[in-house]
Amino acid sequence: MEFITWVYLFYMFIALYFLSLFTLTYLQNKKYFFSYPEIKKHFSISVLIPAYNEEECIEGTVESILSSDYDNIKEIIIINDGSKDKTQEIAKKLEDKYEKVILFDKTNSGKADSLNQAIKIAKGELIAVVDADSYPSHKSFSQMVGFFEEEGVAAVTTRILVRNPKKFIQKLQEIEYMVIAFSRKLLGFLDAIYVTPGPLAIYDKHVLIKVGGFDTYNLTEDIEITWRLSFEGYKIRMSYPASSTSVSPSTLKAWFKQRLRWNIGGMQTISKYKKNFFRKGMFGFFILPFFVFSLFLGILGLGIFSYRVFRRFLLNYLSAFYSFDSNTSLFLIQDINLHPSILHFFGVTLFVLGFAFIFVAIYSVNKDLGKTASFLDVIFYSIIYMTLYPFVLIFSLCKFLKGGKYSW
Amino acid sequence: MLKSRKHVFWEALFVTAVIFVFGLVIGMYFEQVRIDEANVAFYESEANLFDTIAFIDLFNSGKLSCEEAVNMNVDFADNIYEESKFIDKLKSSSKLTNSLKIIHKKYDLLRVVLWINILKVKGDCPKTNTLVYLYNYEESSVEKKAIQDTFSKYILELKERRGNNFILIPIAVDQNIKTLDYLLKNYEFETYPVILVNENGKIYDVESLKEIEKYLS
Repeated sequence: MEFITWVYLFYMFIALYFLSLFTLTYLQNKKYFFSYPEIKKHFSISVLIPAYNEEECIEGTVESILSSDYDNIKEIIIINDGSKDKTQEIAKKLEDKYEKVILFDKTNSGKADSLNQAIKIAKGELIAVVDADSYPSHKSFSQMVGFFEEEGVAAVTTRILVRNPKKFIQKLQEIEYMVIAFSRKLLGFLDAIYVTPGPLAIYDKHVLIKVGGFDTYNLTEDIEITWRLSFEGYKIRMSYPASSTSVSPSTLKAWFKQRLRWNIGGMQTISKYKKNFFRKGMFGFFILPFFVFSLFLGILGLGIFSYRVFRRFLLNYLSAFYSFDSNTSLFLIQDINLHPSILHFFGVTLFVLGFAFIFVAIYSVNKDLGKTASFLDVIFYSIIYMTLYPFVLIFSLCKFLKGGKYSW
Repeated sequence: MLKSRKHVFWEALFVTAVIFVFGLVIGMYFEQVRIDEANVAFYESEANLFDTIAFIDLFNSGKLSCEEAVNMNVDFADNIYEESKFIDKLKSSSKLTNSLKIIHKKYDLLRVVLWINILKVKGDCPKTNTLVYLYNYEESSVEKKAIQDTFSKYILELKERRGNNFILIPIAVDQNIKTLDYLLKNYEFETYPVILVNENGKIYDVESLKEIEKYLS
């Protein structure tokens, strides 16, 4: 058997394994997907909204939190991180208008540091972090707080969805966010949630202070804090019925920049915890290897794919060139090969199963929203959008290895 | 409410292994079916070869004409050429076993025997046109692979155009066939692929392909 066949079979095995893992986890836990614990203890919540140049969204974010049905939101702290637009002015008006809203003005020092400073003045037992461009749903807090009654739970995350997707790239991200939400819930059943995204996450304030708050050197403080909590043995849960909508990049450039930040942040986190491979329970045995191998396989896969495509392209080009030169046909009917190999069968099977997974994810996420996704969008997402990702990964790796200071 | 079901990792591994092994078994079965088809074709060709060899012996005893001997070789060469095209197509679909490579080697061996037979006949029948196409089965250079593709297409078109006018013998030179290695030493080829026309014209590049027809009488 050729080496490349071994490589293909290895990739197919890994893909099939994760599809099986997710499918079995889904089938075994389907009935628990939308359930959440009943609230017995009404923990007080301090909502922190880090804001830098958020004049367009900040008011909507505050309004959506104020409209929450949870009865013990103690305060909403808008952390104005040295904004250069009218964020401070709008926040001041909101502070004057609503009793619970507090404006915390500070010089620019980044999101993680802003949160750490605000945690010190927060009075709630729980800290909810809400990005300034994100709108938590009406029932989100009451659907999340109950999870903190389980011993050892330090953070609760939720579904993050794209708000009002208009452009094609936003519609693709809408599908992506749904698949991510679905996968994260499945990982939650395995105690393997690896991120509590910024649009809405609630943390136990006591634990947050104990572990040292958010990492100010990391570009994705939400990934890093989740890994740290997991590393320290705390549990992270996901409330699937709760949700928060967020603005997604509307241009390819903005999308690329966002993904670059996510990937570099992920790599910074891997680098920080690299010594914990196959140590510390689920963190060392699953989360860390899952992340590292995804990265490695993504980059290696792209390398092999690019090499094969380039070689094929070069061969076709040279064949065409020589055919012209010798006045020979470019293509003969005899060249058509109607004998598919076992790799074709595996490939098609995996593609169909992957496609089915995306549809189940979309159906599951939309169950309570009454929305549907276009079949064509899903096809485009599966074939083109997913193929783009390894390129971003390689670019991120180069930038990460190059070092230096990264900006948002 | 939340049940941690970590044994699902092992369950998934088991399910994956079952599906994977099932897929491999099915794949090997289909490959084997194709190999069996190729083998049946080969046995037929092998029988035809013996027929051809017997025919040449008969020719050497002076009981047959040059035309009859040449036609016999042309038919046999055409047959095994068609069969090997089928084998070449199967080559790209055969991923799990290397049986097809061995079958290809057997076909190459048949063609070496055919070539030797024709060389014998040529002594008495000098007007026999032969075109021996020598190439690499495992060619790693993209450029040479492209040249091989072009050569293959060219000789296929030539064969379709001129039919029984010449005997076409494509042979892979990298199949570790000792007889072939010795035979090739006599011709001192610079590189492969090469097309040898009537034992003296050597075509190494695509620009010279048009010269083939000059060598063919």
